[in-house]
Amino acid sequence: MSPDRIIYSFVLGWVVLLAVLIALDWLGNPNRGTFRPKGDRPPRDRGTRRSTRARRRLEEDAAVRAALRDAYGASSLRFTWTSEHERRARLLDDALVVEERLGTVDVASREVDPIDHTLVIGDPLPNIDERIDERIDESGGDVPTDPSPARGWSTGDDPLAPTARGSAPTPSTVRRRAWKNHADHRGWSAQNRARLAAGKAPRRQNPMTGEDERAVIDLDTGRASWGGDPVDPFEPHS
Amino acid sequence: MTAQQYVVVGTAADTTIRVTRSHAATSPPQGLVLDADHPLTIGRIEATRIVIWADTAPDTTAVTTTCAGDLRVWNVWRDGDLIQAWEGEARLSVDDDGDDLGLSCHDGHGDPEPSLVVRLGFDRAWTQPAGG
Repeated sequence: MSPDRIIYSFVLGWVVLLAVLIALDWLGNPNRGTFRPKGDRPPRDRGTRRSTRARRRLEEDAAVRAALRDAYGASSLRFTWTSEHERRARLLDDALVVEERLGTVDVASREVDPIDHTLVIGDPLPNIDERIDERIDESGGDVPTDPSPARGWSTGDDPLAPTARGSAPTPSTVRRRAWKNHADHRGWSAQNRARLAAGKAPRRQNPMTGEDERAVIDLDTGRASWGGDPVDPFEPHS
Repeated sequence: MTAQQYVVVGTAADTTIRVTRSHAATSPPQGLVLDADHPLTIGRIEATRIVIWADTAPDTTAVTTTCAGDLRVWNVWRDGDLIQAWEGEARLSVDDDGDDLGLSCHDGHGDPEPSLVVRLGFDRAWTQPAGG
């Protein structure tokens, strides 16, 4: 075979492979051809389209990270993934569900003690309440500056309660809270107790099917179940 | 008596199963699940998977099968909003005296005494129980 034909075959091979990959990507896109009402369509200017595409990419990435967190407890399976990466990923995902505030924002007043002396290392910080650590944990490291009456979530509270920043909890936050609420209940195996304490769903082996099952949380009610709950004929509302 | 996690009973069509409860722990609330391939009937309720909770159902409940097939039975308990089964030390022991089927059930809490004791009576012949 002549060198020309080898180069031609090589290039042709790559072109065909790329065409196949592009076709598969197009066919596998679930949003392809999705109807959008006219009012929901973004404006046609370039800047808006670009920001819409960027947001959609972020939301798709967040969905993948949420699925990984549910399954493996981390947003990525990379070996180099650190707790700092995890913290930033969760912050980014949480920020996606925070609604933009338009117009003016009413800020509640708060009494602040004046600092009339020079602070040195080791001095207690003034104007910091006791719940600040918990609020930092709840907000994923973002210290809330809004002194609204919303407080951070703690074990035993409603999983659907708003975050310390007053925003609705993300689905992964609801699941994590619901499972932490179950962690101190009796009857769990040691393995599941550890999973629950970490905010992860418990697992069990179904003896009838032999398959591993994972409990789920209803995101509307925050209620836990193993799926396929039986009918209670004596329940008043059934 | 053999300890297992569930029991399977072969039932004929239109069999009435009398579930008689003689003991149930109150905390956590105990229940018995009956699961079949075909609908089961209690009063006007029809479903393939039914739970009889000790704190709401009468001591004796009549369940009717609509078709012949396997009936799977296991014990459950309520853990807050979660219906639990097969977790921790949960198991049930079967006492087969030829007519009725006695079930001594333990929830997952490791107590030596059974948390639920029930007897299943059949108004038709049933086949040998098996289970996991």
